[in-house]
Amino acid sequence: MLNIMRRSSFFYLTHFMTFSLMPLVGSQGAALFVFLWLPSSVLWSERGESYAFLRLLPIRDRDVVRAKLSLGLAAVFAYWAWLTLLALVQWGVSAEFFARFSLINLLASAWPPLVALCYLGVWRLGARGMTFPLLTLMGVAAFIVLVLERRYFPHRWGDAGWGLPAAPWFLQVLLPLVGLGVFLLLARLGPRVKGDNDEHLQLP
Amino acid sequence: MEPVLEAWELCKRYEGFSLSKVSLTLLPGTILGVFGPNGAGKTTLIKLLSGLFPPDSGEVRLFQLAYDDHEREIKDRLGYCPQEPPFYPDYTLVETARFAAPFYSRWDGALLYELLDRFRIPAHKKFRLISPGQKTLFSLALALCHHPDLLLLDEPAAGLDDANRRFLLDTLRAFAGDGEKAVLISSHVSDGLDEVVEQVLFIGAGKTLLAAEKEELLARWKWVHFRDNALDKALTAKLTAIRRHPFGSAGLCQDFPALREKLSGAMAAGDVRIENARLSDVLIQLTQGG
Amino acid sequence: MFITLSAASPEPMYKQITDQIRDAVASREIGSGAKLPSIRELSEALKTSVITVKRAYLDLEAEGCILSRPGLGSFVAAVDPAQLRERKIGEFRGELTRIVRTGAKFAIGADDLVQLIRDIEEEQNGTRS
Repeated sequence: MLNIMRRSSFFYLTHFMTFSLMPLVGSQGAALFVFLWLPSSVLWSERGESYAFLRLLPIRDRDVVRAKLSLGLAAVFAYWAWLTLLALVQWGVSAEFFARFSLINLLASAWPPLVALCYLGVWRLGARGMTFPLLTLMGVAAFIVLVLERRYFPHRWGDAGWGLPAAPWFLQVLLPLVGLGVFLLLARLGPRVKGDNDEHLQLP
Repeated sequence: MEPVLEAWELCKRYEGFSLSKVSLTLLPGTILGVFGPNGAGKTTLIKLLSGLFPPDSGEVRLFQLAYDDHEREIKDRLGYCPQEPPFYPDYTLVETARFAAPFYSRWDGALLYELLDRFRIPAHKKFRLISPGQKTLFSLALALCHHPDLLLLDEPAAGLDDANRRFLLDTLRAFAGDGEKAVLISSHVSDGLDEVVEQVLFIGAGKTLLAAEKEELLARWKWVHFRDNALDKALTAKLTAIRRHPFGSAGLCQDFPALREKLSGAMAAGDVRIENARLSDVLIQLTQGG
Repeated sequence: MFITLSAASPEPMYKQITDQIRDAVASREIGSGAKLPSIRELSEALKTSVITVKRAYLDLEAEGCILSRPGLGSFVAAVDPAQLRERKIGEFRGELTRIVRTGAKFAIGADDLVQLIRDIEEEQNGTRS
């Protein structure tokens, strides 16, 4: 199981490395870019996957599903932790920090379901079948992200204005929990979706 | 003796193709050949047996176990070579072996490298850079090196040169020869693997055409060459695939022991000569004959 | 004429053809002067190559069994049947040697063999009448 995760993690790592430099050069809306980075990691790592090979090995489908989704969730956590850490380093424990922390939490609650959906799509349509839909989706997302960033984070180089006030505390707790709940639900669907479809078994 | 592999009425439907109600039993110590024309469903059948995906209906059991509950035990004891080896193109053979090894309880790395040496395959080359024949051999080596109890080989002779094909045949004979393990191969009849096979299963258009022991089958199917007018109508009617030419005709007889008595006179007079049929003759007659 | 080729036979294909045509001539199944099938015709019927049949015909011609007339085809030569019979007896000798040796192994002597041959002849005559 560890070797499956290790192989799949290559694109997650390269993606995370490029991403982690981004806030340092000043993009305030980095949290929004995670919506692009996650599907991209899934897509490129899955394009190199050979499920026909994994099906030949003595390992159950549900363990493969668990390995992949664990990796996705680990990536989500890494992005969340990195953004939080940066905000903390920059602002200390202050009102500005909590404004950013609140925003990070709200956005991050959508990431686990997003990762799970990407994987389900790959198991349903195959990585090659998912390439076009995902790239289109990411294109649309990129457009929205850039517009949002301009609207809410106008000072690209400045330190001011995250634009949003801190969300109420219960939303900050509730929404991530809902996100995780949806992730777990989708994860339970994983083995069924994978078992019922053949397209992902095509060779890389 | 408990069967190594059993399948009951396997069905699998695709767009434009369906495998319907194929059953088979494989006893320890036997080599079964699944033969059929292109598109007959050989590969689909083997994929179902290997547990790549489940059948629409029907049941598969290996070592008396079902994939639903015992996938890991089964695959630990199964050596499966798909028609197209599915390994990571960007991994070297060594990396692939390292990837696969921890999953198996009886992994034998020394055996793997011995086999790679024998096949003269460079173990540090990336999988996508070796030749198609070497890919097949590597797949075979991986299947053998975890000491399986059953081999499922989907057209294993494709791309092999004569020496390696001979090696494959010897390996399969030795493998099944201990009386406890078994082999199932799919093949075109013409690639020379039929000589190692003891049981045959002919399939065509997704259905079982014939299942038999090879020697028994070949004892019954014979080519009957006969001088024109040497056979009466009733005898001629028992032959199929009749070829007529000015220098004697020939027909395929499907039950020679039943005809032997009636033909003996003409055989002694030299007006009838009998020749062994080949599996390909049988298969072509079954799939194309009227 | 009845010609078959056997892949299982140790004899090469061209030899199987020459043997069978020679036998047909020796047994008078085809008389002298009769036209033989063309090389192409025979090779198509026997599903073998033109070169194989050509080689067989050349061998037969060399031993004087057949004649080739350019543009007309191949014909059975006016061979001395006695000569062909001689040749056949030679072949019989070979086969009989094997039988006699096998017989010796199991203490079946010449008298037994002669008796066997008479029995077989009787049987054949019986079935024929």
